[in-house]
This record gives sequence, C-alpha cells and structure tokens, in this order.
Amino acid sequence: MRVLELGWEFPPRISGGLGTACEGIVRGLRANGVDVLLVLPRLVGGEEAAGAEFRSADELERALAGRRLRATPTLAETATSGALDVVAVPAALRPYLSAADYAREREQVDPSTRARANDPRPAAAPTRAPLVAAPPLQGGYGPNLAAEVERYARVVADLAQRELFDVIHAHDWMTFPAGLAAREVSGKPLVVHVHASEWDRCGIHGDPAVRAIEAAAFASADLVVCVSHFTRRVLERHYSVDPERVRVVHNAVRRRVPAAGAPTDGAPTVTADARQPPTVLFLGRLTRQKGPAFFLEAANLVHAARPDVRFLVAGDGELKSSLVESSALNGLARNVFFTGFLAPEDVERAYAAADLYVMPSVSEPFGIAPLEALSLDVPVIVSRQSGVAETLPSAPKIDYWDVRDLAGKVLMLLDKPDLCRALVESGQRDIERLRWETNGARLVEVFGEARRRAQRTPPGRLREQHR
Amino acid sequence: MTDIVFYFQVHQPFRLRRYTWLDIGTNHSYFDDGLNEMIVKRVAERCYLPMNAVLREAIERTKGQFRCAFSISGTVLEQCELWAPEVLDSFRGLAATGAVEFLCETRQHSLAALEDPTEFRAQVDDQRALLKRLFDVEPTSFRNTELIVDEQVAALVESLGFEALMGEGADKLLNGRPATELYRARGTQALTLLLRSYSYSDDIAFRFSNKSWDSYPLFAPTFVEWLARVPEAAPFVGLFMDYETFGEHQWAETGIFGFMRALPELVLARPRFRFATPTQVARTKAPRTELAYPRTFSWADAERDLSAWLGNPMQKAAQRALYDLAAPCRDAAAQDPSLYADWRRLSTSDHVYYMATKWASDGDVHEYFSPYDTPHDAFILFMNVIEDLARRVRGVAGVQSPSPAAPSSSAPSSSARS
Repeated sequence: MRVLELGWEFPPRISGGLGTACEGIVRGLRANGVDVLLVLPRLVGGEEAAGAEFRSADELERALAGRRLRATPTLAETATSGALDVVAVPAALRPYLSAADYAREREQVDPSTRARANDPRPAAAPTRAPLVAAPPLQGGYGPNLAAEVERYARVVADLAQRELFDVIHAHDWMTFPAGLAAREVSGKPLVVHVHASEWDRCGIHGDPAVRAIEAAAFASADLVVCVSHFTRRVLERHYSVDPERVRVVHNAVRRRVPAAGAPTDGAPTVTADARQPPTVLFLGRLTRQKGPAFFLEAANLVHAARPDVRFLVAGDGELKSSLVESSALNGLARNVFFTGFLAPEDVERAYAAADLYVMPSVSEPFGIAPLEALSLDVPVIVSRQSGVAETLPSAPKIDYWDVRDLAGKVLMLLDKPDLCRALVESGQRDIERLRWETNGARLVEVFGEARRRAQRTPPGRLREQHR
Repeated sequence: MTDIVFYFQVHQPFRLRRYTWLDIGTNHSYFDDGLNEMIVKRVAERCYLPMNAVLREAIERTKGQFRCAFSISGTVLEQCELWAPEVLDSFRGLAATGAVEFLCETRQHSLAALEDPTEFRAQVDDQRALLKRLFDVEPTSFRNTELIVDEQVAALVESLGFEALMGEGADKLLNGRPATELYRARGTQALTLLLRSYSYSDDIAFRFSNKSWDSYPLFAPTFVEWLARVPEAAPFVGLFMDYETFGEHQWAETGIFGFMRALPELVLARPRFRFATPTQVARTKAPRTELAYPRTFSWADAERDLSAWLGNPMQKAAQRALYDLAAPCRDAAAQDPSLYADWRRLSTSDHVYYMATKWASDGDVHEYFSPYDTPHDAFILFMNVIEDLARRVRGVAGVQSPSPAAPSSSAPSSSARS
C-alpha cells in the first residue's frame, strides 16, 4: 500500500506537537510496510531541513511535468520496510499560523514564490472551480491565508494526478482542502486525521470559515481519525460528525535515545538542589486552550497551605501579561517564575527543576508533554479534558476548572515522594504501550477500511449526499 | 529680591541585564555593564560635558553671579568613575568656582525614605562620604528621590541636620498658594522647603522643543519676561529639572544650549533678580508658612504621587520583595559585602519605574526611559534577580532570611506606612 501523506514539518525543525506526531506517524506506517509519499508545505527561504532533499519551486514544476520525485529516505535507520518519498511544496503555511504570523511570513517568501502566489493562473493546472464549498476565510486569518490554502490544494491536486497511491491521509484543516482535491482528481479514498480542531483552539470564538472547512472535510472524508476519544466527542458534539465514521488512534511517544555525551542513566542534566523549595511546572503556550490561568488559581490555594512551593510557568503567549499581573496581585510574585519561550534543551532543564508537572488544558486533543515529563521521572497531573489522559490510567486527573481539586492533589503529591515515585514508574509502564509501530498498524486497518468503503460509495455520490 | 534657583538632577541607574529563570542560582552577575557604559558615555558626550562647559562659562562671565545646584546620584558618580572620569573632572571644575552647591540624596537614588529609615540614613551617609571624597564638599541641603516628600520624609531629613529640602510645587499640595513662597513642612522646625515651580521648569524641560506648543520656539528673553510676572515679593523661583534635559531629552539641535547660554545675563539685567543656591536661600530668608502634607507628593507624571513607582501590583510586590531583603543583606555584609552592594543597586527607583503600566501620555515617558520590552518583562527579570539574591543570602550562615512568602509580605508596600 502507498499513502499520499499530507503532513507537516520535518526533523530537526519541529515547532510543535503536530510536527512531532506526523513524523511519528510516518515512522509507524513505514514500520508496517506502507510506502509513504510525504508532501510538506515549506517556507521558501526558510531554514534547511536536514536529510530531506527539498526542491525549489522551479524544480517542483519540472518534476510535476512528469518526473517522479524521490528523496533520500532519512528515516531508514528505523524502518524495516516501506519506501519514503518526500515532496516539499513551496507554500507559506505552517501549523498554528495566525494572521499576524502569516502577514510577516509572506514578506519572507522569495520573489519567485511571491510571483507564483500572485499569479491567478496556477503554473501547471488549468483554472478550476473552487475545490471546497466553504465561505472565504475571514476574521483572524485574512484572505491571503485562504488563497494560500487554496493554492496548496491545487499543487497537491496536480501532484495527485501524476502519482500512484492507494489512500490519501491529511492532517488538520490547512491540508483538508488539498486532501479533498486529491481525492477528486484521483478517486482514491480520503482519511482526515484530527490533531486539533478549531473548537479546541478557540472554543466558541473560532473562525467560522476554518470551522466550515473542517466541517466539509469531516462530512465527506471516507473516514475520520481522531487522536483521542476526547477529540471524537468534540467532533460529535461540535461538528455533528457521525460517530460511525470516526476511528480513534492514540498518538505514541518515541523511545528516548540518549544523545552522545548526555548522561546515559536518564538523570537530569541539572541536578535539583535539595535545599531548594518544591517546584510545580506548567509548560505550554500561554493561551486559553492550555489553561495557565487555572494553574495560577490553584497555585494561590497551594500557596496558602504551603508558602514555600514555587511555580514555574514555562512558555510564552498572549496571556502572559495578565498572568504576570495576577500572580503579583495575589501575593505570588516571589513564588511564580515566568521563563518565556524555552529552547528544547532548556525545556529539559525545566523538567529537571520540577517536582511535579501539571497539564490543566481546557481542551487538549492529545498533549504529548506529560509523556515527556514522565520519561524524565517527573510525576504528572493531567486534565480530564485531554486525550493523553486516556493513555495514562495511573496518572492523577482533574477537571481543568476544578482548581480546588488540583490544589489538593498538588499538595498531596508534594507531601508523598514515595507515591510520586510509584506514579512515575506506573506512568512509564503506560508509555511503554504507546508505540508508533502500534499506531501505524492501527492506521493500516483504518486505511483498508476506507478503501473498502470507497469502493462501496464512489466519491462523487458521497459528496452530493453531504451537500 | 527674588532668587532664581536652578537645581539640576543628574542620575543614571545600573540597568539589569536580561536575567532569566535559567540564570537563577547559577549566575550572580545582574547588571548590564555594556549597556550602562554605553549610555553613560553617550550622555556624558551629549549632555554632562557640554552643559557643564556652558554653566562654567556663565559663572566665569558673570563673575560668580550665576549660581546653580546639582544633585548627582551615587550610581551615576560610580558609573562616571568607571567609564567617564572626565565628567568628574568637569564637575570638580564647577565645584571650584564656589558658585555651585551640591545637594545630598540617597546614594542609590532609592525609595528607602518610604520603606526603611535605617537604610535611608545609611544611603545618605554614604552619599555624603562620596561627595566629600570626589568633590570635597559637605552638603547642607537635601533632595529626596524624585522629589518624594511628605511630613515623615521631611522630619527624617531634618533629623539628619539638613537646612533645606527640595519638593514639588504640586497644585493639590498648595491649593492655590504660590510655589514661590518658602514653606516649612508641618512637624519640622528648622528645615526650609523649596518647591519647584513646575510650569516654568517644564517650559525648559518638556515643552522647549515641542513644535505644537503655541510658544514654540522659546527664546531666553521671552522666558525672562515670564519670570518677571512673578510678584515682586516672591522670595524665589524654583527651576528644578533633570540635567539630561540638556542635550539628551532636548537635543543640541533644538537650541537648548544657546537658550541656557543667553539666560544668565538676561536674568541679571533685571535688578529684582539674583541667582542663588538652596542653602543660600535658606540662610537669608525664613519660611513664613507651615505646609500640611495630606499625602506623599513627587514630581512625576500628572498625578505627582507615587504611582509611577508603586502604582500597580507588580511594582508593589517587587518593592516588598526588595525591602524584605534589606536587613538580611545588611546583616550579611560582614561575611559577603557583595550581597549588600548588589541589593543597593537594586534599590534604585528606576527598577520599579520600568514596571509601570500607565498607558496615557505618561506611559510614553516611562517607555522612553525603559530598557525592557514591556513592564511585565521588567518585573519578571527583577524578580528573577531577587530570587537569586535571596538564595545567596540564605547561603550565608547565620543570617535570617525572610521566608519566600511570609503572609505579611504580600501587603502592598505603599500602604505599609499610610
């Protein structure tokens, strides 16, 4: 089986959870003998991605004229079978793009791409009707991002006409129009994979146009994969997706391979000073979705009982100013520390300094950070409003809004180091079960099911049915 | 005879470097030497050296009839010793004319008068010693940081033996009484209060280069005309301003130096005026009115209160955390003098000023002076440093450090004494 994988990012430049998950998924599919044609939007003029043989816009156009692309398979060291082809499509898209980011990044795109982007006639494709029946993007994202998503879809459709594959696998909304377009030209089944929906990111404040693109994809894809039952329920409740067409495949976590020169016994690189007071860690973007305000509310309650406890808030985001002010107002100025954005090596230092990690996310489709914390011997408390909670049966759980429950559990764990050690050990056993190879095997089943369903229901009829 | 009293404030803080959470416990170097050196050299070149020359020439031309006063913070004097010693020579030259008075202040330009009388006295003593060492002068008049004055501050200053105290002529303090009168703060006996005539002062310090001001451009003869509107019986006019006004806030291109060159003779041409220094005024004229302070006043922003430094929860929390460490750092000085030295530099009022979140026109002034991206960054950075300093204090045997969060410590600092 060969899958047209509409993915995101590539090692070593991975900026967030989506890139990490896509890399793991490709790894898992190949371990199960699946050939992967990986298509990645890539900022022209951006950083070089080591290993993958990226091509310029011109090269891509020549390639689209009939030549088959084949990049150096850089994941070969762990793959037992399964070929990997990588195509980088010049496009100003990346995960978690906001309007301001987008405007800035358009400036950085090189002139050839800019000329291409502004050209109403796509270089290698005749003009077609809009590929997705959705209103134009408005509000936060602006019309340029909409055009870019559309342009990306056209390029992918051109590629899909020239490539052989059995199933299309698209990840999150910016690739959904491309997935639908590829299905239209190829007639192959489409599986959309939901890592985070607009509902998770913004709740009721989401961009209606993004939600419309998501809804159109959920309605007409052959199958929908969610990274958790939590996300499946979000789709059922907020997108009215028929549960019969949804499959849950949990994310996994990569086995930690100690880097050369790093301590091999798993000991943190910075040893916590035994005389320093206990530290509770929040790590994530300082946005509504991650629940940092609930973390600080709980910190208030913990502080009242144990004034020595410190709270480390690692990450940056639009809530920073209000969080800083509220910590000062509540008399926590000397107990809460704000690190700002942390580089990966500094993230490890934050884990090393922590006695306890809390993920109070309001809506977290999966959430890989607690798995990282556990693998570095830090016990975790996770919100029930997260997918990762389903994979950690032994971890203490809270509802994100129940700050009293959170504070109580924090105090209890800080008082009981033996319990913390036991929770770390059982959590690490939970993690052992989360392998990308297992994830890949499950996806192979889903792909097979999608192909059978597509044979029963031709795509054209299916789409009409959902109009 | 109306005395024209010029007092210039010279100050630079030791700005902090970008001290992050990762530095806590591992790096005890808090101050951005490169930035501080760059700024003091720039200000020396644009302001201190050329303006000192302008004033010295005026004193020589008028055979000592032009007079003025300086208050120079200990932190800027330290920076000049380190990076711009020619500025000290230039001030020594002014001191030698005998026409210049050097006022005393807290050595670190701190808010200690509000928080910690012991620390306040220590910083005043240190500043006296520094002025003696550098300029061989013994100050007799006092200015508290940013003209922060209330009855308690006045009593504290009087108890240290000073004859005159500089203050702001705030409308809400005077309630229609003239700023050009001499006052005595309620509760003091022999301390003359000299208040700033803020309108005249700000004509030079703020409005001088403002092209949308209806009196732009201001020339010295016009300004002297305005001064002459002060009633004949007025004992003095207080023209108090930041020294960096000349060449730094108002660039040389605005004509500010030419204005100050022309001013002395134009003032002296009118027999009713003479130039005097604060101690001179205090010794020749007696205050007739007692002044009650309903609250603490300063010369900052539109409010003329403490809100520029202690107006929001971040500033109050930072101030509280700082002063909770004062006594432990003093106690630890015998074992490790660097703890108290670092604490002293952190007590400079600019650090909490950078955390102000006033977004009106005063916010622009704050932003102009701040080396940080946002008030919140200034706060985060300062609290990181405080944490590191607290850990170092705890590391010194036998010193009692406050717990990181004793319940009383969350009380806003400004209310601690009200």
